[in-house]
Amino acid sequence: MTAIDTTPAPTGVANDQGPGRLQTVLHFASRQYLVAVLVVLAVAVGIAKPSFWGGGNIENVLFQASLVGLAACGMTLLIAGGLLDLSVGGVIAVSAIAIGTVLPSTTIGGAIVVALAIGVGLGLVNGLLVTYVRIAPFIATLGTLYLFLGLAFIWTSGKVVPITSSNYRAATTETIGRVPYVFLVFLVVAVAAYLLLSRTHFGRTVRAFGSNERAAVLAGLPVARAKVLVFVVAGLCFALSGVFMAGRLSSAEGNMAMGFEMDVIAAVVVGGTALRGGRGTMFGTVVGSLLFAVLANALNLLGVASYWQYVLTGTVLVVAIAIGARRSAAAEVRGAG
Amino acid sequence: MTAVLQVEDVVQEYPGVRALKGVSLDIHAGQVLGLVGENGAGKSTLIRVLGGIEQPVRGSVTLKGVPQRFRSSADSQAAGISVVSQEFRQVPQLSVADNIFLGHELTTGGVVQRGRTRTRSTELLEQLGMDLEADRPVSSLTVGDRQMVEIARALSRTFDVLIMDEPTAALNGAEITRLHAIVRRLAQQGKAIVYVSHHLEEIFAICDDVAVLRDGELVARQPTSELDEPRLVEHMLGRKPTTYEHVSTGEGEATDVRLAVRELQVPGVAEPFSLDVRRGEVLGLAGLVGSGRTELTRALFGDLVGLGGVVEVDGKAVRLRSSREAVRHGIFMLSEDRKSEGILPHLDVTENAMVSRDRRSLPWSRRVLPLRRDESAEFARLRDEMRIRVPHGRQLIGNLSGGNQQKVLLGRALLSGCSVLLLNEPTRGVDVGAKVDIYQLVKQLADRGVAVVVSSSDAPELAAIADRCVVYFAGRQVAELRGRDVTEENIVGASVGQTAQEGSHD
Repeated sequence: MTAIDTTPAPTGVANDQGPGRLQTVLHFASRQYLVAVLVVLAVAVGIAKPSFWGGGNIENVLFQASLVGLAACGMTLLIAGGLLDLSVGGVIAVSAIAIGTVLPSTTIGGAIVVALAIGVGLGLVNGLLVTYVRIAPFIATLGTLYLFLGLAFIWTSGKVVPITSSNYRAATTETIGRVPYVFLVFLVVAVAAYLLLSRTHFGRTVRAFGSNERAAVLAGLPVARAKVLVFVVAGLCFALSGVFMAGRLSSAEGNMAMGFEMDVIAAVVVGGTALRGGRGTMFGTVVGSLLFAVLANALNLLGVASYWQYVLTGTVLVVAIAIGARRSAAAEVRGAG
Repeated sequence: MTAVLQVEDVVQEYPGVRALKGVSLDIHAGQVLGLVGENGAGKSTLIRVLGGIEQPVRGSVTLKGVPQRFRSSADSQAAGISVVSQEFRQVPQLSVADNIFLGHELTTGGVVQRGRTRTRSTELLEQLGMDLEADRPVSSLTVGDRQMVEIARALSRTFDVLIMDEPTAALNGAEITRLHAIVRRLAQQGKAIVYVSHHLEEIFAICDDVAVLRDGELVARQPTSELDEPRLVEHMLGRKPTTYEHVSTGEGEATDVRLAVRELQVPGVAEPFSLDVRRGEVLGLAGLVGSGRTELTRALFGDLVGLGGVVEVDGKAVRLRSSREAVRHGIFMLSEDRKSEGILPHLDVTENAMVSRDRRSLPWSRRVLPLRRDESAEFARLRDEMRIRVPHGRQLIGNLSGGNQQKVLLGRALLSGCSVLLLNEPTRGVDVGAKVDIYQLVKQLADRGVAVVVSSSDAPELAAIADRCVVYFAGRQVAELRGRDVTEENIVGASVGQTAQEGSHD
């Protein structure tokens, strides 16, 4: 046997700068199967129950999606960094209670600033525990969840703190046309979080240590600082959610957002952000938040018994993630994992 | 004579890549077939197809005359193909014996026979010339021993075809010799062996035939005796190889010391280190495992905190308590473990190259925010300069071959604007073509004034690129070779503890 062929093969290196704009758009669109699911669901429910689109219902849905979504923006940043925060419910409670407490004596703006400052402070606690005391995020924030909740109950002696200022309620629940103000805030925060994650040095550092922490440290990136900071930003997002939740409920109490962290994480994960870190999709998070809100609302409108609502919601969660996992496995045969 | 294994027109595709473009290959019983090619040529894909891990888009695999469709690696093993994979698939917490029989445990009625497992394992390890306790957990083993366990594991099955994917990458000289003897014995017993290696001397030492893959195609299949190394490399590259000619910079020309280490005490190493590296110099660090050279580079990069001593960069004493501090002081290091300590797999090649970029010299606007356009332009420049084979800058780094990943990481080091560059095993897992490129890049970096320290277990590599080479043995400097004395023989001699008297000029 002799040589079959020795002619030099073309190098196969294309000279373009990237995979073309149209291609990028198509690639992006092809991955957004969730958008299709959301649209089909909304249309189907609209046909079955026209009241879905009517009256205050759509505002309701958007309001619910925004509360989860605001917190989910922060959570997406954390998960992209391979981190997690379970103390969402605690942060929301403490910041909302702060609003109820200070509101009689301050302006609306002042109260919101206090709440956001508390979000930053509590996020800082989480960040320092995870980064410098080196407790796994899951455990550290589970601990602080109880800690913050305890704080909230002690502060209020377990009572409900009413938000008496009708101006505050009006400001936080106002709508522009049929779109609640909070939904616009949510979209702005989502865009800001997207830019933060994908277009800044900070965001790059977060994705870098989410992808491979050892490598990020050895590349000389400010991993510790960015880790603390991402918890702080997340805390800010949670508190912002608390600001609107307090207005919506016209009150604040320790268990106002009990179990909320799971809704938030579910929205992020269904949106397509994998828990193992390295990347995050803010667009997916927006869609995920909307999907859950529409689904919950649809099940209520259709009169599904609440126990069965759990079953259906759980099924949607599992199926969406299973499809997402299959798709990403097919797309990245030799990818990063 | 009919072939044991026949591969016909196998095509495999990944999104955007045609990894195998119709490869046909056959292997006879008792034959050792060398499979060579650059990284990304399709060797690993072919092995994954034969091992049942991937299903080809087209083509057929015939084993002993029976057409096969492997749906999983279990199918392939059952049919009689055993694979020694390049990456270890071991459970670190389990014992050596349990790992050897992982997936095909010796059982009676569903219960593992511990005794038989242990004795069979010990037998297999003895065959490999290994004196290893079968009860030890795999996590306590050295990389070389783990490689042997992986080989024992492949041998523990009944097989007709044995595929060995770079089995000697982590082995030392004696172990390699032993392994070669085993391969020959297996061939005499009538097994067919596919042997993949980047070390061409191995191919010539043990293979009867050699098959060359390039860009997913089989470009040559010849008896080894009809080939020599340059011709084989030519087949692999598809062109005449560009040889790397080492030009040693004259001693005493550039005298300014960029890195000065005085009595640096490194945890885990008995004696303190002292050395100087000059501007534009490539200093080699040689020595066996346990010589302390890895620890030295880690300490210089702030990854291990030194216990005492002084490190000066450009005449200024620096404190190295973290890698970040080291980078800020102008020291950069690339780890020998590219996968777990180098690449950021979820980020694209551009971002991977830009993460450590020195932004102090950039205009204010680009310092605060990374600008896409600016970074793509910067990466395009790097790509041309370093000959990184990547279709576009938004490709994920995990999809690149080892050599190209290493080039991206060298680009990262370059952009960090470092004055001292520490390289650990810079060409581990890198094919011949990329190796030469990397040597040239290292040289270019040195010519720009960077003081380069290359720590390597590959003596020919050090002989090729180092201007000066320091050899350590058990934490002690045993030789310093300069200029013409930096040869493979001197380095190897000094590494194993012989006093390389002709080499030391101190």
